[in-house]
Amino acid sequence: MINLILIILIALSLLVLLLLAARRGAGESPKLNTALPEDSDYRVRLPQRALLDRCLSPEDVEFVAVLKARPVFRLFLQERRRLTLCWLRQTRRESARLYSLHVRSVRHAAGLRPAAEAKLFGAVGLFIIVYALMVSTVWLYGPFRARRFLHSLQFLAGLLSDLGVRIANSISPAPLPQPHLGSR
Amino acid sequence: MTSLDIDSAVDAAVRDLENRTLANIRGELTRLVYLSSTRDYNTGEYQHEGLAQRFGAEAAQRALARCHETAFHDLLYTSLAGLVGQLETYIESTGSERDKVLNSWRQLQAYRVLIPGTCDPLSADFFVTNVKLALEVLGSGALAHPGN
Repeated sequence: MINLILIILIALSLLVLLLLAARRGAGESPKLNTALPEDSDYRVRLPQRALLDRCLSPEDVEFVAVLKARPVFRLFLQERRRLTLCWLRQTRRESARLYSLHVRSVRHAAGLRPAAEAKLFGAVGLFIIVYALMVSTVWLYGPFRARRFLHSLQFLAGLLSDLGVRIANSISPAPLPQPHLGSR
Repeated sequence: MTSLDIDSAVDAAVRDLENRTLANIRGELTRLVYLSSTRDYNTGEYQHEGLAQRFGAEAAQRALARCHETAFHDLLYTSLAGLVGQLETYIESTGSERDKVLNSWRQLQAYRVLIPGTCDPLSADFFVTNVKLALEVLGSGALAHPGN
Protein backbone atom coordinates (compact mmCIF):
# COMPACT_ATOMS: atom_id res chain seq x y z
CA MET A 1 0.00 0.00 0.00
CA ILE A 2 2.78 2.40 1.02
CA ASN A 3 4.69 1.45 -2.13
CA LEU A 4 1.65 2.24 -4.27
CA ILE A 5 1.27 5.64 -2.63
CA LEU A 6 4.96 6.34 -3.20
CA ILE A 7 4.74 5.34 -6.85
CA ILE A 8 1.70 7.60 -7.32
CA LEU A 9 3.53 10.45 -5.57
CA ILE A 10 6.60 10.03 -7.78
CA ALA A 11 4.44 9.83 -10.91
CA LEU A 12 2.57 12.99 -9.89
CA SER A 13 5.80 14.86 -9.13
CA LEU A 14 7.19 13.80 -12.50
CA LEU A 15 4.07 15.05 -14.21
CA VAL A 16 4.22 18.39 -12.40
CA LEU A 17 7.90 18.78 -13.23
CA LEU A 18 7.31 17.95 -16.89
CA LEU A 19 4.44 20.45 -17.03
CA LEU A 20 6.62 23.10 -15.41
CA ALA A 21 9.44 22.39 -17.87
CA ALA A 22 7.02 22.56 -20.80
CA ARG A 23 5.50 25.83 -19.53
CA ARG A 24 8.91 27.35 -19.00
CA GLY A 25 9.98 26.28 -22.49
CA ALA A 26 6.86 27.83 -24.01
CA GLY A 27 7.35 31.04 -22.03
CA GLU A 28 10.96 31.40 -23.10
CA SER A 29 10.59 30.71 -26.80
CA PRO A 30 9.60 34.23 -27.90
CA LYS A 31 12.65 35.64 -26.12
CA LEU A 32 15.13 33.33 -27.90
CA ASN A 33 18.22 35.11 -29.08
CA THR A 34 18.53 34.97 -32.85
CA ALA A 35 22.15 36.11 -33.01
CA LEU A 36 24.85 33.58 -33.88
CA PRO A 37 26.43 32.04 -30.77
CA GLU A 38 29.95 33.03 -29.85
CA ASP A 39 32.79 30.51 -29.43
CA SER A 40 32.86 31.03 -25.66
CA ASP A 41 29.19 29.96 -25.51
CA TYR A 42 30.29 26.46 -26.52
CA ARG A 43 32.36 26.05 -23.37
CA VAL A 44 30.69 23.23 -21.43
CA ARG A 45 30.16 23.95 -17.75
CA LEU A 46 28.54 20.73 -16.58
CA PRO A 47 29.25 20.07 -12.88
CA GLN A 48 31.72 17.30 -12.15
CA ARG A 49 30.26 13.82 -11.67
CA ALA A 50 33.10 13.11 -9.20
CA LEU A 51 31.79 15.90 -6.98
CA LEU A 52 28.39 14.20 -6.64
CA ASP A 53 30.08 10.85 -5.99
CA ARG A 54 32.07 12.48 -3.19
CA CYS A 55 28.93 14.15 -1.88
CA LEU A 56 27.07 10.82 -1.77
CA SER A 57 30.02 8.83 -0.47
CA PRO A 58 28.90 6.02 1.91
CA GLU A 59 32.25 6.44 3.70
CA ASP A 60 31.17 9.88 4.96
CA VAL A 61 27.74 8.59 6.05
CA GLU A 62 29.36 5.81 8.07
CA PHE A 63 31.82 8.22 9.64
CA VAL A 64 29.11 10.63 10.79
CA ALA A 65 26.76 7.80 11.88
CA VAL A 66 29.43 6.23 14.10
CA LEU A 67 29.87 9.54 15.95
CA LYS A 68 26.28 9.30 17.24
CA ALA A 69 26.06 13.09 17.47
CA ARG A 70 22.49 13.80 16.42
CA PRO A 71 22.86 17.52 15.49
CA VAL A 72 25.93 16.78 13.37
CA PHE A 73 24.16 13.91 11.58
CA ARG A 74 21.11 16.11 10.95
CA LEU A 75 23.28 18.91 9.56
CA PHE A 76 25.15 16.39 7.42
CA LEU A 77 21.95 14.99 5.85
CA GLN A 78 20.47 18.44 5.33
CA GLU A 79 23.61 19.76 3.62
CA ARG A 80 24.10 16.66 1.47
CA ARG A 81 20.49 16.90 0.27
CA ARG A 82 20.95 20.60 -0.55
CA LEU A 83 24.21 19.99 -2.41
CA THR A 84 22.76 17.05 -4.36
CA LEU A 85 19.83 19.22 -5.47
CA CYS A 86 22.24 22.05 -6.39
CA TRP A 87 24.26 19.62 -8.53
CA LEU A 88 21.10 18.40 -10.25
CA ARG A 89 19.79 21.91 -10.89
CA GLN A 90 23.11 23.04 -12.30
CA THR A 91 23.27 20.02 -14.61
CA ARG A 92 19.72 20.73 -15.81
CA ARG A 93 20.45 24.44 -16.33
CA GLU A 94 23.63 23.75 -18.29
CA SER A 95 21.98 21.11 -20.46
CA ALA A 96 19.06 23.45 -21.18
CA ARG A 97 21.55 26.19 -22.11
CA LEU A 98 23.41 23.80 -24.43
CA TYR A 99 20.22 22.68 -26.09
CA SER A 100 18.97 26.23 -26.67
CA LEU A 101 22.44 27.06 -28.01
CA HIS A 102 22.06 24.16 -30.42
CA VAL A 103 18.64 25.44 -31.53
CA ARG A 104 20.18 28.86 -32.16
CA SER A 105 23.04 27.32 -34.18
CA VAL A 106 20.77 25.06 -36.21
CA ARG A 107 18.70 28.03 -37.35
CA HIS A 108 21.69 29.14 -39.41
CA ALA A 109 22.77 25.68 -40.58
CA ALA A 110 22.45 24.81 -44.25
CA GLY A 111 22.48 21.00 -44.03
CA LEU A 112 20.15 19.93 -41.25
CA ARG A 113 20.24 16.19 -40.44
CA PRO A 114 16.80 15.09 -39.18
CA ALA A 115 18.09 11.75 -37.84
CA ALA A 116 20.75 13.44 -35.70
CA GLU A 117 18.21 16.03 -34.54
CA ALA A 118 15.74 13.32 -33.53
CA LYS A 119 18.50 11.49 -31.62
CA LEU A 120 19.45 14.65 -29.78
CA PHE A 121 15.82 15.42 -29.01
CA GLY A 122 15.47 11.89 -27.60
CA ALA A 123 18.52 12.42 -25.39
CA VAL A 124 17.07 15.71 -24.11
CA GLY A 125 13.74 14.03 -23.35
CA LEU A 126 15.43 11.18 -21.51
CA PHE A 127 17.55 13.72 -19.65
CA ILE A 128 14.42 15.55 -18.42
CA ILE A 129 12.86 12.28 -17.23
CA VAL A 130 16.01 11.14 -15.39
CA TYR A 131 16.40 14.60 -13.87
CA ALA A 132 12.80 14.66 -12.64
CA LEU A 133 13.15 11.14 -11.25
CA MET A 134 16.31 12.06 -9.36
CA VAL A 135 14.91 15.30 -7.94
CA SER A 136 11.75 13.51 -6.78
CA THR A 137 13.65 10.67 -5.11
CA VAL A 138 16.09 13.02 -3.37
CA TRP A 139 13.13 15.08 -2.11
CA LEU A 140 11.19 12.04 -0.97
CA TYR A 141 13.92 9.88 0.52
CA GLY A 142 16.83 12.24 1.12
CA PRO A 143 20.15 11.29 -0.42
CA PHE A 144 21.15 8.54 2.04
CA ARG A 145 18.02 6.69 3.19
CA ALA A 146 19.33 3.33 2.12
CA ARG A 147 22.47 1.95 0.56
CA ARG A 148 20.48 0.31 -2.24
CA PHE A 149 18.82 3.64 -2.95
CA LEU A 150 22.24 5.32 -2.92
CA HIS A 151 23.44 2.92 -5.61
CA SER A 152 20.41 3.65 -7.78
CA LEU A 153 20.97 7.37 -7.28
CA GLN A 154 24.60 7.01 -8.33
CA PHE A 155 23.51 4.99 -11.36
CA LEU A 156 21.01 7.72 -12.29
CA ALA A 157 23.70 10.38 -11.73
CA GLY A 158 25.93 8.50 -14.16
CA LEU A 159 23.13 8.33 -16.69
CA LEU A 160 22.38 12.03 -16.27
CA SER A 161 26.04 12.96 -16.64
CA ASP A 162 26.43 10.81 -19.74
CA LEU A 163 23.32 12.36 -21.28
CA GLY A 164 24.64 15.84 -20.50
CA VAL A 165 27.94 14.99 -22.21
CA ARG A 166 26.06 13.42 -25.15
CA ILE A 167 24.03 16.63 -25.57
CA ALA A 168 27.23 18.67 -25.32
CA ASN A 169 29.01 16.48 -27.89
CA SER A 170 26.09 16.66 -30.29
CA ILE A 171 26.14 20.42 -30.44
CA SER A 172 29.80 21.31 -30.01
CA PRO A 173 31.56 22.51 -33.16
CA ALA A 174 35.07 21.75 -31.81
CA PRO A 175 36.69 19.52 -29.17
CA LEU A 176 35.30 20.54 -25.81
CA PRO A 177 37.56 22.38 -23.41
CA GLN A 178 37.90 20.70 -20.03
CA PRO A 179 36.79 22.56 -16.90
CA HIS A 180 39.72 23.88 -14.85
CA LEU A 181 38.90 22.41 -11.45
CA GLY A 182 37.65 19.06 -10.46
CA SER A 183 38.51 17.45 -13.75
CA ARG A 184 42.02 16.42 -12.84
CA MET B 1 60.29 35.50 -22.57
CA THR B 2 58.49 33.12 -24.95
CA SER B 3 55.47 31.12 -23.81
CA LEU B 4 57.61 27.95 -23.81
CA ASP B 5 60.17 29.64 -21.56
CA ILE B 6 57.51 30.87 -19.15
CA ASP B 7 55.92 27.41 -19.03
CA SER B 8 59.19 25.75 -18.10
CA ALA B 9 59.90 28.53 -15.58
CA VAL B 10 56.48 27.85 -14.00
CA ASP B 11 57.21 24.10 -13.84
CA ALA B 12 60.57 24.77 -12.20
CA ALA B 13 58.98 27.22 -9.75
CA VAL B 14 56.31 24.64 -8.83
CA ARG B 15 59.00 22.01 -8.16
CA ASP B 16 60.99 24.48 -6.10
CA LEU B 17 57.95 25.50 -4.08
CA GLU B 18 56.98 21.88 -3.45
CA ASN B 19 60.46 20.71 -2.47
CA ARG B 20 61.64 23.67 -0.44
CA THR B 21 58.52 25.03 1.19
CA LEU B 22 55.47 22.78 0.98
CA ALA B 23 57.40 19.61 1.87
CA ASN B 24 58.17 21.15 5.26
CA ILE B 25 54.55 21.97 6.06
CA ARG B 26 52.65 19.19 7.84
CA GLY B 27 49.12 18.51 6.61
CA GLU B 28 47.30 19.35 3.39
CA LEU B 29 45.04 21.88 5.08
CA THR B 30 48.03 23.66 6.61
CA ARG B 31 49.62 23.81 3.14
CA LEU B 32 46.39 25.19 1.71
CA VAL B 33 46.27 27.87 4.43
CA TYR B 34 49.88 28.79 3.62
CA LEU B 35 49.28 28.99 -0.13
CA SER B 36 46.14 31.09 0.19
CA SER B 37 47.98 33.43 2.57
CA THR B 38 50.40 34.29 -0.27
CA ARG B 39 47.45 35.79 -2.18
CA ASP B 40 46.72 39.51 -1.94
CA TYR B 41 43.04 39.77 -0.96
CA ASN B 42 42.63 43.07 -2.82
CA THR B 43 44.05 42.07 -6.17
CA GLY B 44 43.75 38.28 -6.01
CA GLU B 45 47.41 38.03 -7.08
CA TYR B 46 49.92 35.74 -5.41
CA GLN B 47 53.13 37.16 -4.02
CA HIS B 48 56.31 35.36 -3.04
CA GLU B 49 59.49 37.40 -3.14
CA GLY B 50 61.99 34.53 -3.09
CA LEU B 51 60.20 32.66 -5.86
CA ALA B 52 59.78 35.84 -7.94
CA GLN B 53 63.51 36.61 -7.65
CA ARG B 54 64.51 33.15 -8.82
CA PHE B 55 61.93 32.54 -11.57
CA GLY B 56 60.40 35.93 -12.38
CA ALA B 57 57.18 37.53 -11.11
CA GLU B 58 54.84 35.94 -13.67
CA ALA B 59 56.21 32.41 -13.23
CA ALA B 60 56.03 32.75 -9.43
CA GLN B 61 52.45 33.99 -9.63
CA ARG B 62 51.38 31.12 -11.88
CA ALA B 63 53.26 28.52 -9.84
CA LEU B 64 51.58 29.66 -6.62
CA ALA B 65 48.17 29.67 -8.30
CA ARG B 66 48.73 26.15 -9.65
CA CYS B 67 49.89 24.79 -6.27
CA HIS B 68 46.94 26.48 -4.58
CA GLU B 69 44.47 24.88 -7.00
CA THR B 70 46.10 21.45 -6.61
CA ALA B 71 46.07 21.62 -2.81
CA PHE B 72 42.45 22.75 -2.84
CA HIS B 73 41.43 20.04 -5.28
CA ASP B 74 43.10 17.34 -3.17
CA LEU B 75 41.32 18.51 -0.05
CA LEU B 76 37.99 18.87 -1.86
CA TYR B 77 38.03 15.16 -2.67
CA THR B 78 39.26 14.07 0.76
CA SER B 79 36.76 12.12 2.88
CA LEU B 80 35.05 13.89 5.77
CA ALA B 81 37.04 11.80 8.25
CA GLY B 82 40.23 12.83 6.44
CA LEU B 83 39.25 16.48 6.55
CA VAL B 84 38.55 16.28 10.30
CA GLY B 85 42.05 14.81 10.74
CA GLN B 86 43.54 17.60 8.62
CA LEU B 87 41.73 20.20 10.68
CA GLU B 88 43.12 18.70 13.88
CA THR B 89 46.65 18.75 12.45
CA TYR B 90 46.19 22.37 11.43
CA ILE B 91 44.90 23.42 14.84
CA GLU B 92 47.88 21.70 16.47
CA SER B 93 50.25 23.52 14.09
CA THR B 94 48.91 26.93 15.14
CA GLY B 95 49.93 26.32 18.76
CA SER B 96 46.76 28.13 19.86
CA GLU B 97 44.04 26.86 22.16
CA ARG B 98 41.89 24.34 20.28
CA ASP B 99 38.51 25.78 21.35
CA LYS B 100 39.60 29.30 20.51
CA VAL B 101 40.60 28.29 16.98
CA LEU B 102 37.38 26.32 16.51
CA ASN B 103 35.20 29.22 17.66
CA SER B 104 37.08 31.72 15.58
CA TRP B 105 36.81 29.58 12.44
CA ARG B 106 33.12 29.08 13.06
CA GLN B 107 32.39 32.75 13.67
CA LEU B 108 34.71 34.44 11.19
CA GLN B 109 34.47 31.68 8.54
CA ALA B 110 38.12 32.24 7.74
CA TYR B 111 38.09 29.05 5.64
CA ARG B 112 36.32 30.92 2.86
CA VAL B 113 39.59 32.61 1.88
CA LEU B 114 41.11 29.19 1.18
CA ILE B 115 39.12 28.84 -2.05
CA PRO B 116 41.07 29.60 -5.26
CA GLY B 117 39.67 32.27 -7.58
CA THR B 118 39.21 29.80 -10.45
CA CYS B 119 36.99 27.46 -8.41
CA ASP B 120 33.41 26.92 -9.60
CA PRO B 121 30.62 27.89 -7.16
CA LEU B 122 29.41 24.32 -6.57
CA SER B 123 32.87 23.04 -5.59
CA ALA B 124 33.33 26.09 -3.35
CA ASP B 125 29.97 25.40 -1.70
CA PHE B 126 30.88 21.74 -1.19
CA PHE B 127 34.23 22.67 0.37
CA VAL B 128 32.67 25.23 2.73
CA THR B 129 30.01 22.72 3.80
CA ASN B 130 32.61 20.04 4.51
CA VAL B 131 34.74 22.40 6.60
CA LYS B 132 31.63 23.49 8.54
CA LEU B 133 30.80 19.82 9.20
CA ALA B 134 34.39 19.06 10.24
CA LEU B 135 34.25 22.01 12.67
CA GLU B 136 30.96 20.70 14.09
CA VAL B 137 32.44 17.21 14.51
CA LEU B 138 35.45 18.57 16.40
CA GLY B 139 33.33 21.03 18.38
CA SER B 140 30.81 18.38 19.45
CA GLY B 141 33.53 16.30 21.08
CA ALA B 142 31.95 13.21 19.52
CA LEU B 143 35.23 12.21 17.92
CA ALA B 144 36.82 11.54 21.31
CA HIS B 145 34.11 8.96 22.13
CA PRO B 146 32.72 7.65 18.83
CA GLY B 147 29.67 5.45 19.29
CA ASN B 148 29.03 6.50 22.90
